[in-house]
Amino acid sequence: MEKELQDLIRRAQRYDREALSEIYRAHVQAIYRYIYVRVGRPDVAEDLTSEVFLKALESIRTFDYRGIPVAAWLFRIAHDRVVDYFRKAGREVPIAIGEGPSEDSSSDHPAGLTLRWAMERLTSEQQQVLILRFGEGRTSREIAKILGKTEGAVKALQHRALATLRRLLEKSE
Amino acid sequence: MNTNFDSILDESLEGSASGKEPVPKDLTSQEVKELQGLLATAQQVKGDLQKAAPSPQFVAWLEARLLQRAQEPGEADRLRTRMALWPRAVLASLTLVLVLGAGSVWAAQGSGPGEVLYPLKRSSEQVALWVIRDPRGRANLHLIFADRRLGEVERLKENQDELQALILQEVTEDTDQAWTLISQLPPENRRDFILRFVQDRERHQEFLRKIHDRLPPRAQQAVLRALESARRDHDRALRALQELGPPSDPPNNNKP
Repeated sequence: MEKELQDLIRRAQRYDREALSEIYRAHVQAIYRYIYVRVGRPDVAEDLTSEVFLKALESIRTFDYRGIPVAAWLFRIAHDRVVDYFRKAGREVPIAIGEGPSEDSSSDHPAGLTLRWAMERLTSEQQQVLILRFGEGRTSREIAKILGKTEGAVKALQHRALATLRRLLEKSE
Repeated sequence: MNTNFDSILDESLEGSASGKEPVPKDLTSQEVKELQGLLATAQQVKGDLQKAAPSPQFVAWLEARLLQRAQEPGEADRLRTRMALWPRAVLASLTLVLVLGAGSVWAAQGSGPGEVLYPLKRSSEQVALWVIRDPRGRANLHLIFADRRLGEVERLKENQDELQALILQEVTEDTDQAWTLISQLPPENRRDFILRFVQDRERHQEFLRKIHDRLPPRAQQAVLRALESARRDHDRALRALQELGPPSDPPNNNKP
């Protein structure tokens, strides 16, 4: 399995069409969802998803598989694109609960608090875990492998993410 | 964080996904309440995330674009090639200018792919890109080149469908590069360029629709891809304009 994956990446680094397609198809849904959760607009999510994969294509030749799994690498590029998008639009990146100075950062939430708004307040890693779990239907073990984490870490991220969402959604009721 | 509860939650999520009883029996009533709340939130997240999927048309379009991009040399390679080629391009241009006279470069501007002066035209474009370092000037050049390439597609003969597809791809490349440069300009210089970009991409769409039926099937595929890129560029540029906000009023010199 590990060898197959390495072989796939090596072929992709030589711009083999089948290998590139396989990597693209395996990740495009998760990357789009990750971006959509953060920007909230399908048109912008499509644009930024295009930019992520074009950027990935440009830099795949220098990608070192041993250092970081493909999905984690793509999520990293997506994260940078989203930050860049907010910067260019002159807007602040939403502060994640637990990353900001205090949980009071949630006090400026809009009147009709939505689940997506609450998801924006999760950390990047928590969002990735929820997207892979509930958007892609992956198990914790699979997610751990995809993101290069331990299964315990994935379960803890999942628990913290759901607890934060529940708390934010309860506040809004 | 209670690692045991992390695992209980995980197993319950697996259980509810496979239709099994999601709440284990040996939990306290408070834990049961907590677990049920988290499972309900998870259901909500699942519903929302599954709805937030990209359209199949977008997924197919992006895959085609990636594969097309992968067929070309990478940016770094392209840059290296340009760097390696420019002295030769300048030399070739100078030789031609000396042999044929300065009018040759001007004459080459009207040439099309496959014609004797066409390499001179393309060399002179590369030289211009090499000489001009200002991002506004470079963006301007890429927009001009994109227009030129479109004109060239129309002039190609029916049996040159492969070349037509290649040149249409260059239109997308030039506009991509123009957009990259425009989006890096300071906001005060960006607006006029974006407006021009929007107008250019509208014009390109109109042109591509017009030539679509006249081209052979293989080139038609390339036209559709170019059209889709033009449409997306156009929408993206409009959004960028909106994000810039209304233009600031010019300074009123008559004010006391």
